[in-house]
Amino acid sequence: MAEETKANNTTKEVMVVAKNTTKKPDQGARNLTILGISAILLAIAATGLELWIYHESGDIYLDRSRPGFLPDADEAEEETSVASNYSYSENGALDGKELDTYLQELKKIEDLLGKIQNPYGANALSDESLGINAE
Amino acid sequence: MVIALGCVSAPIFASTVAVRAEEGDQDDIDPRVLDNVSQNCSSIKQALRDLQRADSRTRAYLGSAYETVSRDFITPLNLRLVKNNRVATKLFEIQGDFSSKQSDFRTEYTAYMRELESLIAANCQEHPRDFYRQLQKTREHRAKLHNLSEDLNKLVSEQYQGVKTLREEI
Repeated sequence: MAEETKANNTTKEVMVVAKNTTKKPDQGARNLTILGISAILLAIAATGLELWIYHESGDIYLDRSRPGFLPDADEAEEETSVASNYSYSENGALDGKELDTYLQELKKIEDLLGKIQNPYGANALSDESLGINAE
Repeated sequence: MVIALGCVSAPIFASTVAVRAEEGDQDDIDPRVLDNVSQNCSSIKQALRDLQRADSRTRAYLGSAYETVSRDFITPLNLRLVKNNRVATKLFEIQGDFSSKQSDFRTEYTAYMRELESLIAANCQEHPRDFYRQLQKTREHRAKLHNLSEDLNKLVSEQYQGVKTLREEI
């Protein structure tokens, strides 16, 4: 009687173990799927947040106007930056000839700046320019 | 007590509402302008997009020039002056002003571009009043940007004059 009970208990244990073993692969696949989907959603959320911060901080406008970052082909071909091969050295004694060269190079930059007449002038956004004046 | 409080607050509330109603009616926008905004909405939007591109190019140009002046001219000269124990108060002041204005220029450009983008996104056909108000806001930022670029250009000229004076002293 005791032996039968013991045998029944063992059988039950084996059945429980078999049941659990049968469950594990399905549960593992489900967990892996959940992990994969969670990782994708997290990546999308993080990317969205980064882009929002990039836009809100205003860096997008600064990058958009950096030389070499202008995306359109015609923009890239135009001269959009003031490049100079000259750089005054911070070391050495004060030399008259070097200062003459300094002044020449600085004058070139000044002339290049002068090429842009009235930068960000009011006219471009005036009612007349936009064709919305009352007359 | 409650009745007294009500008697005091009611006229204040009423006058506030009245002032707000008046402000809404008198926003100084000519109705003909609003009509033009509504009718020419698509051409206005195109003009603003073209302006946005042009302003980006201008910023690239001016920004690189200011960066060159600061990095290759102003800063190294002042460092050399310090190393040679030479006091040039005016040139040191220019460096401080230039650096400050450069930073303001970057900040103001960002603010202006943000307003311009909002303006381009606004619905000028159905909400011309809101569009025009946004246009006025954008104009204010553009004016600040214009002033800053003028100030920076002026500082470049002052740097030139300052170094010329220094050259004459050597």
